[in-house]
Amino acid sequence: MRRTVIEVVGLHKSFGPNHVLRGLDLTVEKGAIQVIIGASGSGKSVLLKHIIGLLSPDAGRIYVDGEEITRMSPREIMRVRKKFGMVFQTSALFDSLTVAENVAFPLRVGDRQYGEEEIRRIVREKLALVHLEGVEHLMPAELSGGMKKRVALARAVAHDPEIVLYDEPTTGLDPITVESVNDLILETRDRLQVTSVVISHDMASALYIADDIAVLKEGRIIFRGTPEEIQRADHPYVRRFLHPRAARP
Amino acid sequence: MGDLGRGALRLVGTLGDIVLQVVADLGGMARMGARLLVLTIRPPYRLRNLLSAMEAIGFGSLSVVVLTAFFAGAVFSLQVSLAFSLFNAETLVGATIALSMARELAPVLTALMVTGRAGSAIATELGTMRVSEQIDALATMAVEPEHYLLVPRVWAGVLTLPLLTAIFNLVAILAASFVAITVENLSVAAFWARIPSWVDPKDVIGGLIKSAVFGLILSLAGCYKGYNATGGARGVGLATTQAVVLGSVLILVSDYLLTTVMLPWWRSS
Amino acid sequence: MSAIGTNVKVGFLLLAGIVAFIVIYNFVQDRQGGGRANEYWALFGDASGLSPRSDVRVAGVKVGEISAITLQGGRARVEIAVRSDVPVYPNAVLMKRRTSILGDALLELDPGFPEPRNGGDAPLPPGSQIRNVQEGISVEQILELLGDVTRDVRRITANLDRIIADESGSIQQILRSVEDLTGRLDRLVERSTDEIAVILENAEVISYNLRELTSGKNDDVEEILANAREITREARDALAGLRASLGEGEEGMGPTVARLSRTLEHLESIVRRIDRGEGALGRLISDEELGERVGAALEGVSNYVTRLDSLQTEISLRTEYLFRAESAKNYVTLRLIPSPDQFFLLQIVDDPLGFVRRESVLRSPPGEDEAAHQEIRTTTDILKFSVELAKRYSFLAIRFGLIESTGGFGFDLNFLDDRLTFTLDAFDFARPEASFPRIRTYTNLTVIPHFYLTVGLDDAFARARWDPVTGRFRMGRDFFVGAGLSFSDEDLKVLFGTISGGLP
Ligand SMILES: Nc1ncnc2c1ncn2[C@@H]1O[C@H](COP(=O)(O)OP(=O)(O)OP(=O)(O)O)[C@@H](O)[C@H]1O
Ligand SMILES: [Mg+2]
Repeated sequence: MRRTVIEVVGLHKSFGPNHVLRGLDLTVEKGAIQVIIGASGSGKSVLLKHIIGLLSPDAGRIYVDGEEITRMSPREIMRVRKKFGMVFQTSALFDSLTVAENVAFPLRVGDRQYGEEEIRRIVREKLALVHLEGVEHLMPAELSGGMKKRVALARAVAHDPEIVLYDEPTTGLDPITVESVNDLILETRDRLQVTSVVISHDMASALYIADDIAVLKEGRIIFRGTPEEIQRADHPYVRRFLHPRAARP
Repeated sequence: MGDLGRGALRLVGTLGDIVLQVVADLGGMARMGARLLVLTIRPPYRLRNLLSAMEAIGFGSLSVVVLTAFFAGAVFSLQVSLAFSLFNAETLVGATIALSMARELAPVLTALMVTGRAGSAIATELGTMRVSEQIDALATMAVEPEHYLLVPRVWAGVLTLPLLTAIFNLVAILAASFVAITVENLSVAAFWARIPSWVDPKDVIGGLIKSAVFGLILSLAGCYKGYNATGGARGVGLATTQAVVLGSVLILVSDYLLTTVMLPWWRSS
Repeated sequence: MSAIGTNVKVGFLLLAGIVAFIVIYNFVQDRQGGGRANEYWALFGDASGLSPRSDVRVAGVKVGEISAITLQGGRARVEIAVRSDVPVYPNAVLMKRRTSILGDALLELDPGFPEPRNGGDAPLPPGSQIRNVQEGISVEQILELLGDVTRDVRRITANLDRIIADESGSIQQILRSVEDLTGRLDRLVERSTDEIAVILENAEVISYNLRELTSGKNDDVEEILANAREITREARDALAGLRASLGEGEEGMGPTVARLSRTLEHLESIVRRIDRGEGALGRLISDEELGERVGAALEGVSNYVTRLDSLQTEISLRTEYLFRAESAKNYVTLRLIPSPDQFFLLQIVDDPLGFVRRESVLRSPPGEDEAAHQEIRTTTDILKFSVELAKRYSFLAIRFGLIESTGGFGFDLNFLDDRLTFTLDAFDFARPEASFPRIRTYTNLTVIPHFYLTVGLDDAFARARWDPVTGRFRMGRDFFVGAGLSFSDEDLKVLFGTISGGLP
C-alpha cells in the first residue's frame, strides 16, 4: 500500500452566493499521477489552490504529508509549500523578469544555495525539457501563449519539488509539444517519485499519463478510477466527457 | 419635496459610504504597515529589491521633481516679490520663500509629484501582478509576497523622499533667486541676506522628516491598493486611481498634523 | 548588467540628495563668530514684530539673535544671545526698531561702557537682565502720552494754585507726610538690614543658592541707595523752587521750611550713615572682614557650582535583545560633557557573543615535520569596554576611540532636541572572519523623559554564522530591539542638592 500524500476531506468553498466546492473528498498517493477532469467553471483550479494553501476553505480539512495545512499559520504553510511546484492556468510568469530569471527564481529563493553556474545549467536543462532554446533573455511579454505555458512548466519543476500541481499544462499547445509535456510529467514521476496532480481537458493525454482519474462535478468528485475503469464506466456524465458529440462518428 | 428628501438621504448615504471607505482604507493601511514592519526584521534581507525599488521610486521621479521644483520656485518668487515690494519688504522675499519651501512646499509638492508618478506605478504593477496570479505564483514558491514585494517598496519610499525633497529645496531656491534677481530686479544680497537668520537647520530637517512620513504614506497607499486589487484590468485601473487619491489626501492631512507637532520645535531656538 | 545600472542610479540619487542637503544646511546655518554666545534678557512692554531668531545688532552689525520670547508678569521677556566677544555693560541699552511697515523688527544693542564710579566697570555676567530698554513708540502712543502729560501739568498747576492760595494748611500737611514717609523709609531700611545680616551669618552653611540670593540683594541695596539719593536731591530742588516762588522770609513759611530742611537732613544722614558703614547694611557694604568672609564662602560655593556647571554627566543603562543570538546585551554608559560640543563616553558592555581573543601559536603536530602556525580563538565572557571621544557639530556627533574593546569610530545624528537619534558604529576592523569591520546601526527614540526605545542592526554586512559544534550564534548580521534609561546631570544635581541640603 502506498503512502497518501494529499488528503482532502469534506472541502466546501463559496464565493458569495456561488457555492463552488460542496464537500469534496480526494486522496492522492505518493508517486501517483492524479488527473482531475471536469467542466469549465466546475472548480478545478479552486481545488488546486486549496491544496497549496492559496485559498482557505469555508469548511473541511486538507492534509499534506499528514500535516493539516488548513490549521497552519502563514509561516508554517510557507514551509510546507517548499515541497510544491505549481503551473498556473494563466502561466503567471513574472513579467518584470526574463525567461531565464523566471525559471531560476525558485532556485534563488529556496533553502539550498546554488552557484551561478549551476543555476544557468539547470535553467538550460529545464527549458530544453519543454523544447525551448535560445529564449533565455526574452521577456514574458515577447512570448506566445504556448511558450509562456512551457516556461511556466520549466519553472514549476526547476527546483525538483516533491509534488507538482499542473493546471491545464497542455491547453493551447501543438500535439508534438503536448507529447513532450506528457513525457516530462511521466519522467519526473519515474525519476524522482514525484507526485503529480494534473488538471486537463485533453482526454487523450489524461488517459495516457494518469494513474488515476477523478471527475469533478457540482462541487464533488462523482467518479474515480484508472484510465481503463473510466473507459468502461457507464456513468452518463463520464461517458459524455469521454465521447463528446463532436468526436462521435 | 419627497424627491428632495430622498435625494438628500441618498447624498448622506453616499457621504457615509465615502467616510467609511476612507476609514477602512486607513485601517487597512495601518495593519499592512504594522505587518510590514514585523516582516522587515525577518530575514532574508533583499538589498537588491530595495535598490531597484529605490531606482523606480527615487531616480525615476528625479526629473519630474526637478522640473516641478524649478517652476514652483520661479512662480512663487514672482508672486512674493510683487507682493512684498508693495510694502518695501524686498529683503524678506528670499527668507519667506526659503522658509516656506523648507517647511511645507518642498516636502508636500515632492510627495504629491512622487505619488502621481511612483505611487500610481506601484499600484499598477502590484495590481497587475495580483490579477495575473503572479502574486499567487510567488506565494507557491514559499516566498512571502508581502516580504518580497511590499517591504522594499515601502522602505524605498521612506528613504528616497527625503533625498528628493532636499533636491527640490535646492533647485527651488535657486530658481526663485534667479527669477527674483533677473526678472524682479532684486539685488543678489537682498535676496540671500536674510535667509540664514530666518531659516534654521531645524526647518530643513523638519521638512525632511515630514517627507519621510509622506514617503511612507504614498508607497503604503500604492502597495495597499495594488496588492488588494481585484477584477482584471478595470480593477487595476481603479486601484491606481484610488492609490493616488488616497495617497494625496493622506499626505495633505498628515502635513497639517505634522506641522502642528513640529511648530513648537521650529519656534523654539 | 541591469543591477549595476540600478546601483549607479541609486548611488547618483543618494549623492545628489546628500549634496543638496549639505549645501542647504551649510547655507542656512548661522556662521557668526564660531558659535560661543552669551545670553541676556530684557523686559519689553510690547514685543510685537520681534520673533525668535530676529537679529540683534550693534551699530547695524549683527552680533546675535533673539533666542526666545516668553511672558513674565504681563510683560514680554526677550532673551537674546550675543556673541561673546561683544562685552555688554550694566548701562547697556536695548532698542526695538522696526525695519518695515510689515512689522518686522530687530533689536539694536548699545553695549554700554565701563562706569567705574557706580561699580559698573565689569561687563554684565551672562544671564543677567539688561535694564535699559527703549521701545519704538508709535505715533498714537506719543499722542496719548502727550495728552496724559498735559493733563498732569494742568492738575499740578491747579494744585499749585490752591497751595499758594492756602499755603499754611496744605503745605504743612504735605511736609508732614513727607516726614512720615522718610521715617518709614528709615525703618524699612533698618529692618531689611537685619534680615540680610541674619542671612549672611548663615552664608557658609547654606548651599550655592546663596550666591544668587545675595547678588540679588546687593542690587537692591544699591537701588535703595540710589533712590534715597534721588529723593534727597529732588526734594531739595523742589524746596528751592518753592522758596523762590513763595518769596523768601515770608511770614508763616519759616517753620515749614525749617521742618522740610530737617527732614532732608535726616534723610541725608541716613544715606551718609549707610555710606560710612554704620548699621548692618552699611557694614555689609563697607566692612572688609565681613566682606571677605562672605566672599570666601561664596567663592567656595561658586567653584562647586561652576565645576558642576561646566562638566555635565549622564548615566544610562541600556539593554537590547538580539534575535539571532537569542539573548540580551547590556550596556552601562557614563557620558561626561565638558562643553556642548564635545563629550567623553565610557561604557561597559556585557555582550552575549563574548570577547574573542585570537592567538597565534606554533604547533608541531605529530606526524608532520614542520611546525605550523595555528590560530586559536578563545571566546571569553568577560565584559567589554568602550572609551570614546566625541565632537559634536549641531545635530551631528562624531566619535572615535575604543568601541567594545576594539578600535573604531561612529556617528550620531540627533533630531527633535536629541529625542530621536540615529547611530552608526564601525569597529573591530581587524577580525579575520570578514574583510570589513563590524557595522552596527540603530535608532533611539525617547518616548518619555529618561526612557528610550531602540531598534537596530548589528554587524550589518557580515553573513550570519553559527558554531558548527555548539549551534551557538557566533557572529554576523543580527537584529535587536531594546530600551534604555538615561539620567542627565540635572537629575544628578537634584539628587546631590538634596543630599548636601540634608547636612546642615
Ligand atoms: N477568486 C475568485 N473569486 C470569485 N469567484 C471565483 C474566484 N475563483 C474562482 N471563482 C469561481 O469559482 C468557480 C470555479 O472556478 P475555477 O477557476 O475553479 O474553474 P475551473 O474548473 O478551473 O474552470 P476552467 O476549466 O475553465 O479553468 C467559477 O464559477 C468562478 O467564477
Ligand atoms: Mg481552471
